[in-house]
Amino acid sequence: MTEALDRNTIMGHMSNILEVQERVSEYIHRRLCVNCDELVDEEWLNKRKEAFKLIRGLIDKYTFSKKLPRDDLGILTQSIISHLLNIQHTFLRILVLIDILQDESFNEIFMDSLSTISSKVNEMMTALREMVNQRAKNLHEAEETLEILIKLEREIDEDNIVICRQISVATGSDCDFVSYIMRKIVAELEHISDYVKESAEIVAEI
Amino acid sequence: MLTKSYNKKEKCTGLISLALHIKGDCKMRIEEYEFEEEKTLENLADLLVEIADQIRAGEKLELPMPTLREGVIVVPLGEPIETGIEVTIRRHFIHVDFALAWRRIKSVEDK
Repeated sequence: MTEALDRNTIMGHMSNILEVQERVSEYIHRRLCVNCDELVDEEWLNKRKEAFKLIRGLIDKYTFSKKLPRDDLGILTQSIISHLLNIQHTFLRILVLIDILQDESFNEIFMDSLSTISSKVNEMMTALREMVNQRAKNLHEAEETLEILIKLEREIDEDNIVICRQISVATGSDCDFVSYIMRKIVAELEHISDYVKESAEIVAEI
Repeated sequence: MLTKSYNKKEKCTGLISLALHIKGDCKMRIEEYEFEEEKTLENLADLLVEIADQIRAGEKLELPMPTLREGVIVVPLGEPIETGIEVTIRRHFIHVDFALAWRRIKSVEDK
Protein backbone atom coordinates (compact mmCIF):
# COMPACT_ATOMS: atom_id res chain seq x y z
CA MET A 1 0.00 0.00 0.00
CA THR A 2 1.20 3.52 -0.77
CA GLU A 3 2.14 5.84 2.06
CA ALA A 4 -0.84 7.63 3.59
CA LEU A 5 -1.24 11.39 3.19
CA ASP A 6 -0.89 13.66 6.20
CA ARG A 7 -3.53 16.12 7.41
CA ASN A 8 -2.03 19.22 5.79
CA THR A 9 -1.72 17.59 2.37
CA ILE A 10 -5.34 16.42 2.59
CA MET A 11 -6.49 19.93 3.52
CA GLY A 12 -4.52 21.26 0.54
CA HIS A 13 -6.29 18.88 -1.86
CA MET A 14 -9.69 19.87 -0.49
CA SER A 15 -8.83 23.54 -0.79
CA ASN A 16 -7.86 23.04 -4.45
CA ILE A 17 -11.20 21.39 -5.19
CA LEU A 18 -13.11 24.13 -3.41
CA GLU A 19 -11.26 26.82 -5.31
CA VAL A 20 -12.56 25.44 -8.60
CA GLN A 21 -16.09 24.93 -7.25
CA GLU A 22 -16.05 28.50 -6.01
CA ARG A 23 -15.33 29.71 -9.55
CA VAL A 24 -18.22 27.70 -10.95
CA SER A 25 -20.43 29.13 -8.22
CA GLU A 26 -19.33 32.65 -9.10
CA TYR A 27 -20.13 32.18 -12.81
CA ILE A 28 -23.57 30.84 -11.95
CA HIS A 29 -24.22 33.67 -9.53
CA ARG A 30 -23.25 36.28 -12.09
CA ARG A 31 -25.51 34.69 -14.65
CA LEU A 32 -28.46 34.68 -12.23
CA CYS A 33 -27.82 38.03 -10.57
CA VAL A 34 -30.21 40.89 -11.32
CA ASN A 35 -28.36 43.90 -9.96
CA CYS A 36 -24.71 42.98 -10.21
CA ASP A 37 -22.37 42.82 -13.14
CA GLU A 38 -24.38 40.19 -14.95
CA LEU A 39 -23.19 38.02 -17.78
CA VAL A 40 -24.81 38.85 -21.08
CA ASP A 41 -25.62 36.07 -23.54
CA GLU A 42 -22.42 36.21 -25.53
CA GLU A 43 -20.19 36.30 -22.47
CA TRP A 44 -22.22 33.53 -20.88
CA LEU A 45 -21.57 31.24 -23.88
CA ASN A 46 -17.87 31.31 -22.95
CA LYS A 47 -18.37 31.12 -19.19
CA ARG A 48 -20.83 28.28 -19.63
CA LYS A 49 -18.28 26.30 -21.63
CA GLU A 50 -15.63 27.08 -19.06
CA ALA A 51 -17.88 26.07 -16.15
CA PHE A 52 -18.55 22.66 -17.71
CA LYS A 53 -14.83 22.27 -18.37
CA LEU A 54 -13.98 23.18 -14.76
CA ILE A 55 -16.40 20.54 -13.47
CA ARG A 56 -14.96 17.90 -15.81
CA GLY A 57 -11.48 18.86 -14.64
CA LEU A 58 -12.48 18.41 -11.01
CA ILE A 59 -12.82 14.64 -11.37
CA ASP A 60 -9.03 14.15 -11.46
CA LYS A 61 -8.60 16.19 -8.31
CA TYR A 62 -10.12 13.38 -6.25
CA THR A 63 -7.27 10.98 -7.04
CA PHE A 64 -5.74 11.73 -3.63
CA SER A 65 -8.53 9.51 -2.21
CA LYS A 66 -6.28 6.55 -3.08
CA LYS A 67 -3.90 7.57 -0.35
CA LEU A 68 -6.18 8.34 2.61
CA PRO A 69 -4.99 7.13 6.01
CA ARG A 70 -6.86 4.14 7.49
CA ASP A 71 -8.04 5.99 10.59
CA ASP A 72 -10.42 8.73 11.82
CA LEU A 73 -8.80 11.30 9.56
CA GLY A 74 -9.46 9.04 6.57
CA ILE A 75 -13.10 8.56 7.56
CA LEU A 76 -13.71 12.30 8.09
CA THR A 77 -12.02 13.06 4.76
CA GLN A 78 -14.21 10.50 3.01
CA SER A 79 -17.32 12.25 4.40
CA ILE A 80 -16.15 15.64 3.17
CA ILE A 81 -15.27 14.22 -0.25
CA SER A 82 -18.78 12.85 -0.51
CA HIS A 83 -20.28 16.29 0.21
CA LEU A 84 -17.87 18.00 -2.20
CA LEU A 85 -19.00 15.60 -4.94
CA ASN A 86 -22.61 16.45 -4.12
CA ILE A 87 -21.81 20.16 -4.35
CA GLN A 88 -20.20 19.96 -7.79
CA HIS A 89 -22.85 17.60 -9.08
CA THR A 90 -25.57 20.01 -7.95
CA PHE A 91 -23.77 22.91 -9.67
CA LEU A 92 -23.73 20.74 -12.80
CA ARG A 93 -27.48 20.22 -12.44
CA ILE A 94 -27.97 23.99 -12.20
CA LEU A 95 -25.87 24.52 -15.34
CA VAL A 96 -28.09 22.03 -17.16
CA LEU A 97 -31.23 23.73 -15.81
CA ILE A 98 -29.91 27.05 -17.16
CA ASP A 99 -29.37 25.31 -20.51
CA ILE A 100 -32.95 24.04 -20.38
CA LEU A 101 -34.21 27.60 -19.90
CA GLN A 102 -32.11 28.87 -22.81
CA ASP A 103 -32.83 32.59 -23.03
CA GLU A 104 -36.52 32.56 -22.25
CA SER A 105 -37.92 35.46 -20.32
CA PHE A 106 -39.01 34.96 -16.74
CA ASN A 107 -41.03 36.60 -14.08
CA GLU A 108 -38.83 39.02 -12.14
CA ILE A 109 -39.99 37.67 -8.80
CA PHE A 110 -37.91 34.59 -9.51
CA MET A 111 -34.88 36.63 -10.41
CA ASP A 112 -34.86 38.30 -6.98
CA SER A 113 -34.99 34.95 -5.28
CA LEU A 114 -32.25 33.55 -7.48
CA SER A 115 -30.00 36.58 -6.88
CA THR A 116 -30.39 36.51 -3.12
CA ILE A 117 -29.83 32.81 -2.75
CA SER A 118 -27.08 32.42 -5.34
CA SER A 119 -25.17 35.30 -3.74
CA LYS A 120 -25.33 33.61 -0.33
CA VAL A 121 -24.35 30.24 -1.78
CA ASN A 122 -21.36 31.90 -3.42
CA GLU A 123 -20.46 33.47 -0.07
CA MET A 124 -20.70 30.06 1.59
CA MET A 125 -18.38 28.50 -1.00
CA THR A 126 -15.78 31.18 -0.27
CA ALA A 127 -16.20 30.76 3.49
CA LEU A 128 -15.82 26.97 3.28
CA ARG A 129 -12.58 27.27 1.32
CA GLU A 130 -11.31 29.81 3.84
CA MET A 131 -12.32 27.53 6.67
CA VAL A 132 -10.30 24.65 5.22
CA ASN A 133 -7.27 26.93 4.90
CA GLN A 134 -7.74 28.27 8.43
CA ARG A 135 -8.04 24.78 9.90
CA ALA A 136 -4.87 23.76 8.07
CA LYS A 137 -2.95 26.50 9.87
CA ASN A 138 -4.67 26.99 13.20
CA LEU A 139 -7.20 24.70 14.90
CA HIS A 140 -9.11 27.47 16.67
CA GLU A 141 -9.29 30.19 14.06
CA ALA A 142 -12.03 28.51 12.05
CA GLU A 143 -14.76 28.52 14.69
CA GLU A 144 -15.97 31.94 13.64
CA THR A 145 -16.15 30.88 10.00
CA LEU A 146 -18.22 27.84 10.98
CA GLU A 147 -20.65 30.17 12.75
CA ILE A 148 -20.89 32.33 9.62
CA LEU A 149 -21.63 29.26 7.51
CA ILE A 150 -24.32 28.05 9.92
CA LYS A 151 -25.88 31.52 9.89
CA LEU A 152 -25.86 31.75 6.08
CA GLU A 153 -27.43 28.31 5.71
CA ARG A 154 -30.22 29.31 8.07
CA GLU A 155 -30.75 32.58 6.18
CA ILE A 156 -31.05 30.70 2.91
CA ASP A 157 -33.73 28.43 4.42
CA GLU A 158 -35.64 31.53 5.56
CA ASP A 159 -35.18 33.33 2.23
CA ASN A 160 -36.48 30.23 0.51
CA ILE A 161 -39.69 30.26 2.57
CA VAL A 162 -40.27 34.00 2.19
CA ILE A 163 -39.57 34.01 -1.53
CA CYS A 164 -41.73 30.99 -2.31
CA ARG A 165 -44.57 32.47 -0.31
CA GLN A 166 -44.27 35.80 -2.15
CA ILE A 167 -44.34 33.99 -5.46
CA SER A 168 -47.32 31.94 -4.36
CA VAL A 169 -49.28 35.04 -3.37
CA ALA A 170 -48.24 37.04 -6.44
CA THR A 171 -49.10 34.43 -9.01
CA GLY A 172 -52.03 32.51 -7.56
CA SER A 173 -52.07 28.93 -8.74
CA ASP A 174 -50.89 29.43 -12.32
CA CYS A 175 -47.84 27.51 -13.34
CA ASP A 176 -45.71 26.87 -16.38
CA PHE A 177 -42.56 25.11 -17.49
CA VAL A 178 -40.19 28.08 -17.08
CA SER A 179 -41.45 28.81 -13.56
CA TYR A 180 -40.98 25.19 -12.62
CA ILE A 181 -37.39 25.11 -13.87
CA MET A 182 -36.57 28.38 -12.11
CA ARG A 183 -38.01 27.12 -8.85
CA LYS A 184 -35.86 24.01 -9.35
CA ILE A 185 -32.75 26.18 -9.59
CA VAL A 186 -33.63 27.84 -6.27
CA ALA A 187 -34.19 24.40 -4.70
CA GLU A 188 -30.83 23.13 -6.00
CA LEU A 189 -29.04 26.19 -4.63
CA GLU A 190 -30.68 25.55 -1.27
CA HIS A 191 -29.43 21.96 -1.38
CA ILE A 192 -25.88 23.20 -2.01
CA SER A 193 -26.13 25.34 1.14
CA ASP A 194 -26.94 22.16 3.08
CA TYR A 195 -23.97 20.28 1.62
CA VAL A 196 -21.64 23.19 2.36
CA LYS A 197 -22.83 23.43 5.95
CA GLU A 198 -22.48 19.69 6.44
CA SER A 199 -18.95 19.81 4.99
CA ALA A 200 -18.10 22.64 7.38
CA GLU A 201 -19.35 20.61 10.34
CA ILE A 202 -16.86 17.89 9.43
CA VAL A 203 -14.03 20.30 8.56
CA ALA A 204 -14.47 21.60 12.13
CA GLU A 205 -13.60 18.11 13.40
CA ILE A 206 -10.57 17.42 11.25
CA MET B 1 -30.38 37.66 -21.75
CA LEU B 2 -31.77 35.85 -18.77
CA THR B 3 -32.50 38.60 -16.37
CA LYS B 4 -34.17 41.79 -17.40
CA SER B 5 -36.59 40.59 -20.04
CA TYR B 6 -39.73 40.59 -17.98
CA ASN B 7 -42.73 39.32 -19.83
CA LYS B 8 -46.06 40.23 -18.32
CA LYS B 9 -47.89 37.45 -20.07
CA GLU B 10 -45.74 34.93 -18.31
CA LYS B 11 -47.26 33.47 -15.21
CA CYS B 12 -45.50 31.48 -12.59
CA THR B 13 -46.22 29.83 -9.33
CA GLY B 14 -44.90 29.35 -5.86
CA LEU B 15 -46.58 26.00 -5.83
CA ILE B 16 -43.73 24.01 -7.15
CA SER B 17 -46.00 22.33 -9.58
CA LEU B 18 -45.91 21.57 -13.23
CA ALA B 19 -48.75 20.71 -15.52
CA LEU B 20 -47.60 19.92 -19.02
CA HIS B 21 -50.17 19.41 -21.69
CA ILE B 22 -48.53 16.89 -23.93
CA LYS B 23 -51.28 16.37 -26.49
CA GLY B 24 -55.00 16.74 -26.28
CA ASP B 25 -56.30 15.36 -23.03
CA CYS B 26 -53.05 13.72 -22.03
CA LYS B 27 -51.78 15.64 -19.01
CA MET B 28 -48.67 15.05 -16.98
CA ARG B 29 -48.61 16.43 -13.48
CA ILE B 30 -45.71 16.60 -11.07
CA GLU B 31 -45.98 18.35 -7.77
CA GLU B 32 -43.05 18.97 -5.46
CA TYR B 33 -43.00 20.89 -2.23
CA GLU B 34 -39.98 21.46 -0.06
CA PHE B 35 -38.78 23.76 2.69
CA GLU B 36 -36.57 23.74 5.77
CA GLU B 37 -37.38 25.42 9.04
CA GLU B 38 -35.93 25.66 12.55
CA LYS B 39 -38.19 24.52 15.36
CA THR B 40 -38.03 24.14 19.12
CA LEU B 41 -38.33 20.65 20.57
CA GLU B 42 -41.84 21.46 21.70
CA ASN B 43 -42.97 22.73 18.29
CA LEU B 44 -41.52 19.63 16.69
CA ALA B 45 -43.36 17.41 19.17
CA ASP B 46 -46.63 19.20 18.32
CA LEU B 47 -46.04 18.65 14.61
CA LEU B 48 -45.26 14.95 15.04
CA VAL B 49 -48.31 14.38 17.26
CA GLU B 50 -50.47 16.13 14.68
CA ILE B 51 -49.05 13.96 11.90
CA ALA B 52 -49.46 10.80 14.03
CA ASP B 53 -53.13 11.58 14.73
CA GLN B 54 -53.85 12.04 11.04
CA ILE B 55 -52.06 8.83 10.09
CA ARG B 56 -54.05 6.97 12.79
CA ALA B 57 -57.27 8.30 11.21
CA GLY B 58 -55.91 7.04 7.89
CA GLU B 59 -57.56 9.40 5.42
CA LYS B 60 -55.40 12.36 4.59
CA LEU B 61 -52.32 14.16 5.80
CA GLU B 62 -52.42 17.94 6.12
CA LEU B 63 -48.88 19.27 6.18
CA PRO B 64 -47.79 22.81 7.04
CA MET B 65 -46.24 24.47 4.00
CA PRO B 66 -45.25 28.07 4.81
CA THR B 67 -44.04 28.53 1.24
CA LEU B 68 -47.61 28.39 -0.08
CA ARG B 69 -50.40 30.92 -0.03
CA GLU B 70 -52.72 28.34 1.53
CA GLY B 71 -50.07 27.53 4.12
CA VAL B 72 -50.91 23.84 3.98
CA ILE B 73 -50.97 20.92 1.54
CA VAL B 74 -53.31 17.95 1.76
CA VAL B 75 -51.87 14.57 0.85
CA PRO B 76 -54.04 11.44 0.48
CA LEU B 77 -52.87 8.54 2.66
CA GLY B 78 -52.51 4.90 1.61
CA GLU B 79 -50.95 1.59 2.61
CA PRO B 80 -48.41 -0.02 2.68
CA ILE B 81 -46.07 2.75 3.79
CA GLU B 82 -42.37 2.55 3.00
CA THR B 83 -40.32 4.14 5.75
CA GLY B 84 -36.72 5.28 5.89
CA ILE B 85 -34.76 6.57 8.86
CA GLU B 86 -31.29 8.01 8.39
CA VAL B 87 -29.10 9.14 11.30
CA THR B 88 -25.72 10.86 11.27
CA ILE B 89 -24.06 11.69 14.57
CA ARG B 90 -21.18 14.16 14.51
CA ARG B 91 -19.31 16.11 17.11
CA HIS B 92 -21.19 19.37 16.45
CA PHE B 93 -24.46 18.23 14.87
CA ILE B 94 -26.89 15.34 14.69
CA HIS B 95 -28.99 14.78 11.56
CA VAL B 96 -32.11 12.61 11.59
CA ASP B 97 -34.00 12.23 8.33
CA PHE B 98 -37.39 10.56 8.08
CA ALA B 99 -38.80 9.55 4.70
CA LEU B 100 -42.22 8.09 3.98
CA ALA B 101 -43.68 6.79 0.71
CA TRP B 102 -46.82 4.96 -0.31
CA ARG B 103 -48.71 3.94 -3.41
CA ARG B 104 -51.32 6.32 -4.66
CA ILE B 105 -54.81 4.88 -4.88
CA LYS B 106 -56.15 5.58 -8.35
CA SER B 107 -58.93 8.11 -8.24
CA VAL B 108 -61.81 8.41 -10.74
CA GLU B 109 -60.14 11.54 -12.11
CA ASP B 110 -56.92 9.71 -12.99
CA LYS B 111 -58.71 7.05 -15.02
